[in-house]
Amino acid sequence: MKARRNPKAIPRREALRQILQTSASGLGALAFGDRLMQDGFAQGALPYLTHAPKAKRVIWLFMAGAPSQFELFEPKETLQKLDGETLPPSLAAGKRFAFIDGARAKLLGTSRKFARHGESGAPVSELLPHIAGIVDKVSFLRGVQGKEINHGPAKLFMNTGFGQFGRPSCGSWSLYGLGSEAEDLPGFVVLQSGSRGPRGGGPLWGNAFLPSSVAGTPFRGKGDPVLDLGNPEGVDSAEQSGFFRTVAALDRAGAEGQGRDADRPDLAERIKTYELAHRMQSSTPDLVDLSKEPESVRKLYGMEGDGPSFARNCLLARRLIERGSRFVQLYHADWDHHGDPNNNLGKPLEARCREVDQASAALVLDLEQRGLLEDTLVIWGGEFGRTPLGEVRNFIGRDHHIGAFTMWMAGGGVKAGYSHGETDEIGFAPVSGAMDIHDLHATILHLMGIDHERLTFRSQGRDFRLTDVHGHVQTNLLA
Amino acid sequence: MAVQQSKSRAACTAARAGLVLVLGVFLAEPARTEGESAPSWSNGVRTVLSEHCFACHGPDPSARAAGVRLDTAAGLLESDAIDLGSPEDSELLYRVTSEDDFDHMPPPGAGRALRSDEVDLLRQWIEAGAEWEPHWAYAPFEDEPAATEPAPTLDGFVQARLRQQGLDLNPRANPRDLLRRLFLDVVGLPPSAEAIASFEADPSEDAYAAHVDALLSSQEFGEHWARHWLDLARYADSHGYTIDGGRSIWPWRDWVVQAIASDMPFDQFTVEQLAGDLLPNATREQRIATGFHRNTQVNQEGGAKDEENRINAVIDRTNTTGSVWLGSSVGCAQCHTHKFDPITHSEYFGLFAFFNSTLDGGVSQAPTLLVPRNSEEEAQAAKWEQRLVEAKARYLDEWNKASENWTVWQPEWATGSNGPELRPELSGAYRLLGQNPVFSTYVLQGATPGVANVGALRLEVLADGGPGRGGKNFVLQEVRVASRADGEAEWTPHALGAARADFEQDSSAKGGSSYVAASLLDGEGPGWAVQPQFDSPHVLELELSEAFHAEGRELRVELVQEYGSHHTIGAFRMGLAAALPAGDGSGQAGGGLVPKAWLDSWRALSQVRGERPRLPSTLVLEERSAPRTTRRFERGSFLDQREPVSPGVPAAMDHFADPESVMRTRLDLAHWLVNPANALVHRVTVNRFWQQLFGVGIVPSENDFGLRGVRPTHPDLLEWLAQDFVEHGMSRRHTLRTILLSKTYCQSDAQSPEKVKADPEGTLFSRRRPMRLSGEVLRDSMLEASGVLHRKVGGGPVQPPQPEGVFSFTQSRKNWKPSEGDERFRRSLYTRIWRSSPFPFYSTFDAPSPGFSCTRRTVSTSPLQALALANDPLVVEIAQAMGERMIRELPGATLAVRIDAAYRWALGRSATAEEVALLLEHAQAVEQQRGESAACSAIARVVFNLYEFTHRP
Repeated sequence: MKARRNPKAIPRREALRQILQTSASGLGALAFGDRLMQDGFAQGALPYLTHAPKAKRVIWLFMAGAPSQFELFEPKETLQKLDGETLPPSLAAGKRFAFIDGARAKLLGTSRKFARHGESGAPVSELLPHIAGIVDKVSFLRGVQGKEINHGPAKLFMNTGFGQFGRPSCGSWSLYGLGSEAEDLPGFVVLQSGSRGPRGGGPLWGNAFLPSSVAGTPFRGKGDPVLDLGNPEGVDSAEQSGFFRTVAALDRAGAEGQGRDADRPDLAERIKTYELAHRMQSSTPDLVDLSKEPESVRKLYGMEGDGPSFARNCLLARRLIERGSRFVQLYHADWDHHGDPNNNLGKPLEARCREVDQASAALVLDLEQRGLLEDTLVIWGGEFGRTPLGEVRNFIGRDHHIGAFTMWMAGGGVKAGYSHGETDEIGFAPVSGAMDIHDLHATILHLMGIDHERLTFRSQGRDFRLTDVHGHVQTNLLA
Repeated sequence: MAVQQSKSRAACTAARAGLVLVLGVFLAEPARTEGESAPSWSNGVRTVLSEHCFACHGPDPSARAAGVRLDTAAGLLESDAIDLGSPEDSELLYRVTSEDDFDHMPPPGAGRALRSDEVDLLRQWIEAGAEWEPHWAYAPFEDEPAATEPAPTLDGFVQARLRQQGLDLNPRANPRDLLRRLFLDVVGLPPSAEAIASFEADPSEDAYAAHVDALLSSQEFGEHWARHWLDLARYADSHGYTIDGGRSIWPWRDWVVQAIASDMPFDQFTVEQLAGDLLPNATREQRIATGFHRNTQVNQEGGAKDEENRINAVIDRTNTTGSVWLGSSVGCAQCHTHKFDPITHSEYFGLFAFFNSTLDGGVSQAPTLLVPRNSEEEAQAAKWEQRLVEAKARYLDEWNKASENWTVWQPEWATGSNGPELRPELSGAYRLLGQNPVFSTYVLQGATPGVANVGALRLEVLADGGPGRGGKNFVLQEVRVASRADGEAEWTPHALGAARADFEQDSSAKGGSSYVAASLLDGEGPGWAVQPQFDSPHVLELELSEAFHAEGRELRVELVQEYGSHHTIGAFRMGLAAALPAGDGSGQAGGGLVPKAWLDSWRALSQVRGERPRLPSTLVLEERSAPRTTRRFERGSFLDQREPVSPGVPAAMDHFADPESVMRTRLDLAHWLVNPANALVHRVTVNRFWQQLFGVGIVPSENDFGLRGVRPTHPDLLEWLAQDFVEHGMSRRHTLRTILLSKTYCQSDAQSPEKVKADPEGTLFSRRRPMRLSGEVLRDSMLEASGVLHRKVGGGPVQPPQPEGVFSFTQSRKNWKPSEGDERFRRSLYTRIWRSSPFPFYSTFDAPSPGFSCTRRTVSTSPLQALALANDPLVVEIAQAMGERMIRELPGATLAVRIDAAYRWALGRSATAEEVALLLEHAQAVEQQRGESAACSAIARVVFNLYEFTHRP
């Protein structure tokens, strides 16, 4: 084999160009998306598809606000012992904290009880009994490191590899690289639960300079999941069908009447997207109609009623990937437990855990039962972690910490029952298995069969990548 | 000389004649077209070397391998890469063809090997003499335009290129298509059926030219073309990031509308926006214009750093200026020297330095400017501004009088522990911004110019921003004074001998503590505090036990504030003297330190501030009196600032500036940008006009005129247009008129198989191509066709109806109260834009995210667009309005007649019999179900969804 080719110099081939242009969008766009992954790799048509994919789709459970690893996954004996002491100066020097005074704040042990679970013996606290039950299906990443200390920039970084607006999201890159198998649903869907949307909003799932068809489509918790999905008020389905039929007929008649070729690609493309839109009007309500799910499944996820909830979104995520969506991201808000009356490591943390624990575990179990876990990657985590130091506030709380925090992944080609990386005795920094967010992105793309250095898009004179000029695939994680 | 810089016009022309067609982002740029003229530096060679070599042998010295540089003539000469005597023995050719892994370039693992055609191209170039040429985009205009007969025309350039392919322009479009195209392009609204009918009756060139001139003189032209500029300027009505609070900067948007409508020359348009505040006797309008660079985002999140916010804004201003005027990705040089374009890391900070000395920054909105809407308000604003100036002057005057025995000390270093920012102000005071920590120690350190002997210190705690942060109390626990000789490491402490203050909080009578100045002397007491006198400046004067000679020494003062929580000083000024001035003249201890006149002047100033007229305001740029020192950020990180950098422009782009003159300010930069000799800027500008009208520029990579950008498809045309633009006073109207009157613009969109084959992407302009309208123009067209468009120009943003739940994905839900009455039907330009959740109807149709400068909108086709146009309440409401128009204007008419009317209003033509029949079937079905008015709305809804309506011919 010749020397490895320079990704910057590799043109995106005509094949992909045609695929992307004839496919209107991530919506049903690449009906042959799956073939693309397999054949694209086999035939070398797309140079960034360098190996067979393990993960064909991704479900990312994003805990917005950043959960505390010390209350959930990282018991530290020394931290318990040093509870109330100040941080050793050797560790505090040169570190940036959002709110607390690193030299003066006191180390904070946890009041939560931990036990080791499963054959892997992974520690999980009493707050997450269901997740504790699936640790043997999970890889814990204990040495994740961030670059941004505030929520907005950090969420952007976790999604786009950059702390400010302007770069495409991980989901958009995936859709751009692989297309979607969904016939009449969006290929990249964003779901949200909790008191409010994630800080940062649209740019977290934005396409930036990639075609707008690969942007994430937010589904709303109430009413029509997609904007403008329902018929206008007073219009029944017969009238709506008549409307679509008439528009198509008039478009053809208009083209011919004006001496234009009714088969020209832009017009044909447009007629196709109108047909697709009409189909979506019935397929999407069917997707979100959970009444057909058996009671046992609803119980598994811990659903109470059909109102907006994280549990409902987990079930929706499974239904979306069953129908071919490539990337589904769930945001659950309010993990920012600094120590205010409403945001602290007491009752508010317990409430968040109750809201996500059962459904997170149920999603993994449900996917496994359906044979989907092996090629679906589930990711769980926040935009950063929390400090081993407590804050000086009225309630118990911790500040933002980017030096080391915990995430977990399951399925999609990652090891089961594995723990990647380890932090020092107070959980301040990794002593092994450190990985930054570029490494995380590189690994996600790798699992999807993509070489993160080769999936590029030229904008403003530069070949952009999700991982910028960084990123190392964490091979230890690969099953 | 092995490599020469080509100076002959013949060489340049030959190079240009062989230009390459490049068809879009997905395709590799072929080095050059098969069968074209001989390869030259510009025609292929540079492209090959840029793709394969420049990353390690290009402009970036830090990345340069083996000291070899291949992008400049000097570098090629020094590298000995080329042997003209024996081309085949040239090192360059050996390296790219060698089979020895060790010698082969690019090295295995670093890039792909050159294809044989690429190698051949290098070989031919070397054999022909290896002439080097400067990059076309940075080259100056040719001095003497070639004398050709007849004089060159726009169409001549296009046709010459087409003839090489055996093609010609299409014939003129039919009158209806042409007029629709013209209206939608120039004013963003469709022509009326009457205008079309009369143009069909007289489609002469004169009649067309009259339309062009009328449209280019209209307010609507200003509005429509302002929208393009707003994309570039990343305009929105909110601050962005997570909180995304509202902001008022629409007066700047209105300024753009008026500037374009009145055809303000592009140089003035540039200077006023980049530096209007620095013009002599700047008018209010010129200051409003500086809002261009206040369209940066502000992170209002708790815990955000002011300085980080400020620097992000300066970076954005630098990069946006590069994109908008230089067509260059200067942002690439933020972290390292540009890998491909000749912009060094230091030069980036030279550009950055121009923008680094404005007063804005942090979470505050200041500076803002009042925007009166009429002469009465103008008088009101002017009067208040005058009062404010006077009150400020009096306050400063009285303040300085009160401290006349003291020298203000503003040392080089002023920091606060635990993260707050000490922002220096013109008066010499510091204002505390950013983080509000529980405890903080402020440290001031530096030389003491003007004070030879230091024996006393004066701390003025200001009511303006204080006394404590948040306007409450502070507790100053300890004042530590020390000095050291220059170059010494150890500090010598100076003990305090005496202390006095104008006011002291003494709660001892009530059993509390005494927060008196004297408690600072023994270090035992709680410190000095001032409750409850928060609405007054306070003064603390300290005498050292022993004065010291300060020349050649550095002074350090630490203000320790670790009492309770958040009891830190909010604003203060420090003074020095040789000794404590004698006596204060009052009977009470310290009572005269804050003279009544100073206190009164402060109260008067607060009162004037409280009486600010309730007028609209807008964000503007203002310069500090003393420029900030800009330092290079190592690897782009503001936490790692290195050597100082002076303001300056990239040398490779600067072939015309007077080497004697020194550029210092934004105004200098603005003048440099629009210097008539700055060919790059004018090329970028006219290219953008062309792109707006044709969908693709003469330089298709409109945001990259650098070495890796796409070269112009019609270089002579671009040069001609750019020079013509400069010669005609940089008039936007002139250049647009030239293009709009051309045969190239007016030709039809008919496409023959041979044209599709020879010009698949239409970049040769062998035909026109229909373009899908933007969401804004679509909505405006619907409003116009329905007869409800409200044409009021300017004013604050409005809220047309939008679907429920748009804000459920943002951190803070916005109040979106739909506007009532006419305001609901204003042009889309005036719709309020929240950065975190832009108006969905426009975003769906590819309106850009206002987070960053957008130089070209993508045009996508998606089912979400079909859903929006079919079902969005906004469309349904306007369809109802058109239905009502049918009933109002055609009472008692049949549905067939109304269908014909809908076609005329929306498309400017009658419906054919077939079309009437098709639509009638649907309308009748609706009428049976839901009655006449629903049937009329249904007709309108269908028409709004037709390809012919949603596309510009």
